[in-house]
Amino acid sequence: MENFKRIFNTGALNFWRNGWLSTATVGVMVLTLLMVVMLIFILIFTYNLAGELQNKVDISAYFKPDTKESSILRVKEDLEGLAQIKSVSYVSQDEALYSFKEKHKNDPVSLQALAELEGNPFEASLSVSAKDIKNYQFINDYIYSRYQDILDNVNYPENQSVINKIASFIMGIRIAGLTMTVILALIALLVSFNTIRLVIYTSREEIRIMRLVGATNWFVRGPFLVNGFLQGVISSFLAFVISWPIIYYFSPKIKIFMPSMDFNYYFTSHFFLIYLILLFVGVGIAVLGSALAIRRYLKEY
Amino acid sequence: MPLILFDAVSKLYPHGSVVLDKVNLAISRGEFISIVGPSGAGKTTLLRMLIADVIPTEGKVFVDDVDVHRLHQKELPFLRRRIGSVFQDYKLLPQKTAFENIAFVLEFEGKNLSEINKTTEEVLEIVGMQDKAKHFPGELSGGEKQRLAFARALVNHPEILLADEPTGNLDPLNTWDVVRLLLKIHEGGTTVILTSHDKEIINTLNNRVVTLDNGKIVSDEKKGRYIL
Repeated sequence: MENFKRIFNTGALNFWRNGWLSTATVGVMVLTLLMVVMLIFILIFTYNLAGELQNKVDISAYFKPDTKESSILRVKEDLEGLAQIKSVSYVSQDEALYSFKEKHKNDPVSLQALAELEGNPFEASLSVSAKDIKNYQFINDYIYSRYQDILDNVNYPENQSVINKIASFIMGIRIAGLTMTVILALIALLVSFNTIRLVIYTSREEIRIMRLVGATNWFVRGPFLVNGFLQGVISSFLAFVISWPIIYYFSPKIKIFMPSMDFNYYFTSHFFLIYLILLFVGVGIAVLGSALAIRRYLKEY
Repeated sequence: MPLILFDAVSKLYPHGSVVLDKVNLAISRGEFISIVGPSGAGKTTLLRMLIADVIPTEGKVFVDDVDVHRLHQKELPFLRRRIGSVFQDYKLLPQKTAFENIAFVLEFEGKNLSEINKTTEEVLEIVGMQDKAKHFPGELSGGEKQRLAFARALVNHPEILLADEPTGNLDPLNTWDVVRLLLKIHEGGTTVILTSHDKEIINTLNNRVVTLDNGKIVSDEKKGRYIL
């Protein structure tokens, strides 16, 4: 315990005495962690964007006019039980007629054409949303195979090419978001690791001296790890404090393009999680970076 | 049985230069031995081999019958604690004060805080550095650095003291201070190995003198003089 205290005090003292070097390292770490915050929000952004596009897609199954409502509701129940399906909503013939009239209330030609027809020409339908855009083909095939006798048609074939395009676009967004995250994270990691390596490199003679006068490897390594720990804690705190006003400033601007995307709300409602991520990444990079960098100097005989 | 034994040690560097050539040397417990010779004779390399800072190309180095270069990395610090080293370039830790440079050695030996403070202050007083305790090495003169290096080497009462050209950078007054200090340490029972090319010092000491030239021992006399 006493040794741990000594190592901690030495590490803290070194951090303080190497003022400029510590400041420079913390500076680089803060930039890295700001990048991490940016990556978190890029991921949320692409995830939400893909989700929003996906929500706009659905298919409708139309039933023959003489189909009983209870039969259609049974189909609805069956479909709701499928793992691939997110939601199913029933649109009765009357509702379809009402919504047509509402939609075309300023279009007398359409309304007149409708009036000339006898009865309600609209069919009852089920509007189906899939959990994943790739599931629509399966849902289409499923409905056709089981309910052919009461089914008039499913609008999937007409919408298939649009759905496929949206699907590949969503995939593109996800891949781009992930690729960008991985590349930027790697760059940030390399910059941080190299900075730490340089700092340890400047201490190589000190490490050698300590070992020559009889210090064990843990006694040599310990203060550097403490130093790294302090760098991680301070830089994660600074990155957190800096990123808050930035998000606060940009959040309304992003909201103009995507009303469902409220970064500021996300930041404040995930306050501790984001800080913990930064703390974990910051301390992880600094401590692991220091441990790896010092390893080669401790291996020398 | 000698305390230290260099058994046919050679050190060759890849480009072909021979620093040490089959050196055999036995040093008994409590001995004061001076290793002399011109610059590049191999004196420092020999001392560095003893603390496993240099690995011999051939031969073995024993301390108390233990082959120094076969020690596991974890055992090495314990050997090095038995040997106090005063390096030619002092090797002080620049980020630590004079006090901390000494206390550091006691810290990793696991001494308690009051013992560390007491012993460090005593040692600083012995080398006349008590008023410089809070100074960093960069703020000390050559002589003061040398005394601090001695203090660090002695603070944990090592069995062996290596002093590599300890007077090389000192003025005559400081030089004789160091010589007196070495003799005092030796009187306390420590085995002292001194390297020097200062003829006057060696002749005054009137102890065992081993002369190295071109990596070979050219003379080894019980009451020797500087012959080169």
